[in-house]
Parts: sequence; structure tokens; C-alpha cells
Amino acid sequence: MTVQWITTTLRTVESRNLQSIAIYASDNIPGTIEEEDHQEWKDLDRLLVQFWTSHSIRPQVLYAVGEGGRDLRGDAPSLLPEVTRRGLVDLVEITSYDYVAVR
Amino acid sequence: MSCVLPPEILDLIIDHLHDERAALKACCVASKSWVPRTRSHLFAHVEFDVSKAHVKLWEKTFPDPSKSPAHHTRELFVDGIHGTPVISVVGAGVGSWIQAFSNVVHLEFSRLDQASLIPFHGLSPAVRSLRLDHCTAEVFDLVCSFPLLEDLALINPYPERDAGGWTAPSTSPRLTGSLDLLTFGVARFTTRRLLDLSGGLHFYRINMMFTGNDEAKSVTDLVSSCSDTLESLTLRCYLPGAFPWAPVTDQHLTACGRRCA
Repeated sequence: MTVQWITTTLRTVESRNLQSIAIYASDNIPGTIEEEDHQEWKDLDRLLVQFWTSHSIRPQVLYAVGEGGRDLRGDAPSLLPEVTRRGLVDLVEITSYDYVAVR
Repeated sequence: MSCVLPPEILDLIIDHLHDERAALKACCVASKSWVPRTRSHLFAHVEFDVSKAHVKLWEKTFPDPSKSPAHHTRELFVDGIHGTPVISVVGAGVGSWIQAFSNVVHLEFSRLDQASLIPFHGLSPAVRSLRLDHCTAEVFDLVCSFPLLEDLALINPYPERDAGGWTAPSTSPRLTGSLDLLTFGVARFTTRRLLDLSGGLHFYRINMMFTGNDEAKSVTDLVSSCSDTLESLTLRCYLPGAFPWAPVTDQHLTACGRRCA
């Protein structure tokens, strides 16, 4: 559901001035990802491709490696196949401090 | 020997020393005529740590607020102590030391989590940036008291204390800058307050997090309200249990705040 909300939120943005998107979706699913969740990621993947096409925005996907956090770097090709394949996304590892840093 | 340089040139020389505190202090004692310009740099950024009795020291050094260098201050930081009533920090009424900071552009409070923020209302009409870390729900009345406010950062506010019965002031700033909203479990209350502001939201940059799907709708509403002006969007979603530290404690937040500062 979390990823679905990210997609829903991004869809509300109509600004032509949008230049930057960064998302972090923590995911406490330990091993396999359910089909429903996979579909949500695919929807997000599709939307990010649209943002690239329409706004030339190269999104940042933040991920954390550590206790409770999912390492998205390894999962990115399956979760975000299109943007990963086309090299349209920057995967950025964040540190524990970055979790709560807002400036 | 009298100085032959015109004052404008001396001002430029002092301006070059704006980040050299030792040199500025030396200038202060070198010539009385240099004092106003050096003070404008020395007191441009002021931090009060209540736990270290900075306030009392300030009041002792500048007993007459009207003659204090507070009017030079552009950035003001007040770090309180959890559980300390605000009124005991800033004093009461007109003429208290805090009222002298009338030209502040960036205002930052942390851990002022008790009683009222009313003493800070309209402190400086020039405030364009406000950051509140662990402050009370009355932050939104404070927000509305600064007509030129552009940037807003709310770190772990406590809006649940007055979740009902809040009436938004009839005017509010246009909020055309950036919004940093870091909440743990109270995003929907906080975003509701923001969406209630009469002037609307026009942020060009939003950086916010939410913790759980029950908050996601309010986040979407907030982003949607800035849909026309948005240039940069950062969304951080944390599911319960997925956070690297569980539970998140004040120490984590405070440590981060200090690190980032």
C-alpha cells in the first residue's frame, strides 16, 4: 500500500516546473514480495518513466541498508524494471542519520 | 592620528571580516566608530541554549532591550528544555528581551514544548523562514503571525494536543518556499492544519515523511494543494516496524538535529 500512495501522490502533481523527485519507501517485507506489491511497484515504474518523458526528471530512489530496511539496490531491476533498464533512476543509499534529516 | 578613510570604505573592510569573529571583536575595541558595523556581523546569528543559562547572560549583558544588539540579528535560535514553560524562557509582555529581535529573518525553536508560543507571535515582520523542532501545536498560530513567511520546517510537532477546535486565523502567509515536514504518526493532523490556512499553500519544494497508510491520504492532499507550484518533491514512507530504530526516540531526533545544524 505504501508504494501505491507514493504513486497516487505523484499523480496529483501537475506543475510544469517540477524538476526533482526523490522517494523513499521503507518496506518491512522480509523476503519475497507479494504480487500485489509487485504491481504497485510496476505502476510506480511506469509513472516515473512518464515523468522522464514529460518533464525530463531523473528521480532519486533512496534506500537504506541496515536493520529493518530493505536493500533496494539489488531489487531495483525487478521492482522498477523500466527506469532501471533505461538508466533513468538514481539509487541513493542513505545513512541512518539521513532517515530523519530534513536539511 | 585620525582615520583618513571614508566610513563607507571602513564598512566594506569590516564586511570582509564577516566570518572572522576574533577579528571582529578586535575591531570592536579598536574604535568606537567601528562598533555598529562589527556588531551587525557579530550578532547576525544568535543562539540561546536555555540549559546553559544563555538567556540570563544576555539579560545581564544587555539589561535595556532597546539598546541591545538584537536588532542586528538575522538568524535566531532558541533551544529550550523539555518541560520548561516558554514564559519562563522569554519573559512576559512587551519589553522582554525577546521583543528586541525585531529584524530576524530565520527563526528556529527547538524543544519549546510547554505552554504557549504567543510571546513569539509577530516577533519580527521580516521572518521568512521558520523551523520548529519538538514544539507545541500552537505552531500554526505562530506561522500565521509572520506575513512574509516562505519556508517552513516542522519537526515532530505535537498537534494531537489540540486536535479539535482550532480555528485558522483569517490571514496567513503565502508560503511560497519550502516545506520540511517530519512527523511520527501525526502527519494527518499537521497537514490538516496546513490545508486549513486561509492563504493556501504554494510551496515549490516539499520534503515530507509519513508513517503508515493512514497518513498517506493527507500527504497526497497536501502535495496536491501545491500541485501548480511544486518543483521538488521528496516523499519518505515508513511502515511501522520498518524504521531502523524502534521505537524512535527523542535522542535520535535531537542528535540528528544537532548534526544537521
